[in-house]
Amino acid sequence: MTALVHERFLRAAAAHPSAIAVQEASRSLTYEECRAAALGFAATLREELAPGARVAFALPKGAEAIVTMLGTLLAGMTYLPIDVGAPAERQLRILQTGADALVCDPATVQRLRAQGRDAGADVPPHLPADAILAMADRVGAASAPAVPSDRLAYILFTSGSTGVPKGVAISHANAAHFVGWAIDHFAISPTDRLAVHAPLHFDLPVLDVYAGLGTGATVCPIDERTVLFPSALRRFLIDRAITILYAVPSAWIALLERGDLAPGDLSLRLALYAGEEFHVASLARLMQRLRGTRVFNLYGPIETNAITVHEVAPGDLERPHIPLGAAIDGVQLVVADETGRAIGTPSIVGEICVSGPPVSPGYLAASGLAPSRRSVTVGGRSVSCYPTGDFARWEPDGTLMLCGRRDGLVKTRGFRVEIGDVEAALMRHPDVAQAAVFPVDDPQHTKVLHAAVAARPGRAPSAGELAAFCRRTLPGYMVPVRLDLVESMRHTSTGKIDRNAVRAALTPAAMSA
Amino acid sequence: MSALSPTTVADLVREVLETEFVAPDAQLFELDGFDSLAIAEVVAEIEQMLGRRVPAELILPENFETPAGLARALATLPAAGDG
Repeated sequence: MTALVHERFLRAAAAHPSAIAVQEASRSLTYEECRAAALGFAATLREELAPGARVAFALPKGAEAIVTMLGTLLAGMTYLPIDVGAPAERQLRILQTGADALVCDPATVQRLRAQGRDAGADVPPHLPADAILAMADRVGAASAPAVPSDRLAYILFTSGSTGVPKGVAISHANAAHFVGWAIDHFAISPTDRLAVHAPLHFDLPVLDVYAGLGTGATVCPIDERTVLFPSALRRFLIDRAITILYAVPSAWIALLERGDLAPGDLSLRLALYAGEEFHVASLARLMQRLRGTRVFNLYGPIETNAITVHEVAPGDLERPHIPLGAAIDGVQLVVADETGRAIGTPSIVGEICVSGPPVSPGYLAASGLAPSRRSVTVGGRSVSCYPTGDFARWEPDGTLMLCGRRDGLVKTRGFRVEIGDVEAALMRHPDVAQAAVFPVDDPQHTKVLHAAVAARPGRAPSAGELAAFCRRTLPGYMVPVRLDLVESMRHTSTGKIDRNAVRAALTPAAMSA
Repeated sequence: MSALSPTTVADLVREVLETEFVAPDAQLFELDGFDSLAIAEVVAEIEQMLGRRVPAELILPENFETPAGLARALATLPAAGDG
C-alpha cells in the first residue's frame, strides 16, 4: 500500500527534523516546527469537528496554508482551498457546497459575512489564520489517527457549465498514488528546493507541496505579487536557488519574454509544465535559456491530476506539437471512439478515457458524490473509465498526442473554463438578454475569451460596465478580454445560439478556432 | 527624461480595467481585475506612449503599488533613443 501524503510528511519530519520544510521571504519553518504546528492544528480540529469534516481555507500561499492542509489531513478531515483572489460571491458559492469551518484572516470573513447576509447564506465557523502556527504548543495532545485511504483528502473547485463551481473530490488514495509516482519519477530528494507557483486551489501544487514535504526537500511558496511579475519571478528563482519549478506554459512564456531570462541564470534541475499546450516555438526558445534543465510535459484533468508524462527531447522541437507522452505507472489510458471502443491504431482520434488509482470518486452533489464514468470496451472487456473530454490520437511510437477538447471546455492561462459558466455570469446582469462566449487563439495564453452580448429591449449597458460586472462575480481568468454588444444573436435550427455565425459577424480577421 | 504624469498613468490603468475612475494614489493591487494580463496591457500601453521598451528590471511589484509610484519609476528611464 502506498503511503498517504501526510504519512510521508511525518516520516520525512522524523528523518530530517532540522531541515527547512517551508521557506518564505522573511521566515522559515523546519520540519520539526511544521510537524508540531500541523499536529497541533489537527488536535484542535478533532476537538471541534467530526471525522471527515470539511475545512475550507482562503489563505495566501505560505506556511499557514500548508500547515492548514497538513493538519486537516492529519485530523482525518478534508480541505477545500478557496481562491483568495476570487470575488466574495464566488467564494461564498464554494462555501455553500458544505464547509464545516473556514480558515482565513478577519477581513476575509467579514467580507464573506456581508456577502452572505445579502445572499441569505451562512458562513461556517471562522478559524483565524494567525492562530494556525501557534497551535504547535498543543502537540502533547496529538497523536495522528490512521486515516482510511478512501477518505476524501481535498476538494478542488473548477468551472461548472451552469455557473456553479464544480467540486472535484480527491481521495487519499488518489493523492497518494500521484505523489508516490512523482517522487520516484523525478527522483525528488532532500537537496531539492521546490517553488509553489500555481494557486493552491489548482492541482499543480499537490506535486510541489507533498512531493517536497514527503522527501525532506524545501518548499518555497511564491507570494501572489511575485507571480504577477516575470522579472520578480526570475529574481525569486535565483535568490531561492529553486531546483524544481512546475508552472503553466503562460507563466513560463512570461518569464521568457518579459523576465530577461538569460542562459545559466537559473539553477533549475527540472522545468515542469501542465495545464495547456506549450507552443513549440516558445518552448524551443525557453529551452535555449535553460541549458542543463530537464523539461517535462505533464497532462491530466483536475479529476485525475497528471496521468501522462513526456520528457521534451531536442527532436520534439522539430514536431508540430509536443506529445502528451505515455501513461504514468498504474494508470490505464484508452482512446475511445464514438461507439465506446478502444482505438488501438495510430492516427485515429478519440476521447481520452482513464481508469486506475488516480481517478476522482466524483463531484460534490446534494446526494453525496456523483461520479462521471464512461464504459469503454478494451479487448472485449468493458472498463469503467473517467472520460476527460479531451481528444487525442496515438502516435506510432506509442505516445499520445492531444487534438482538441469537447465543445464548451476551454483552457486559458492554464485554467479550465466552462464557456457556460461565463455566459451564465453575463446573463445575471439585468440588462443582458443573451450572451455568447468564444475562445480565441492567443500565442501566450493558449486561448482568451471574447463575448458577444445582446441587450434587453431599451437597455444599453456599456462593455466596460459588463466587464466590471463579470469581475465582481468571476475569477479574473474567466472575465472576457473583449466584449461586443450586438443587436441580436443568430440561432441554429435547434434554437441554440449559433456561435459560429455570431462570431463571424464580429471582426472576422481576429477570430479563429 | 520619459515623462508620464501620475494622472496619465492612472487614466491608462482605468482604460485597461474598463472601470470608472482610478486615482493617481489608488492601491493598484486592490483593484478588481489587476492581474498579470492587466499588468502586461498597462506595460504595452506605456511602451506605445513612450515609444520604447520598458526594461524588465522596472516591471516589479514595488513599482506598481500606485499609478504615481509607477510614474516615478518610469521617470528614471532615459529618453527614447538614448538607449
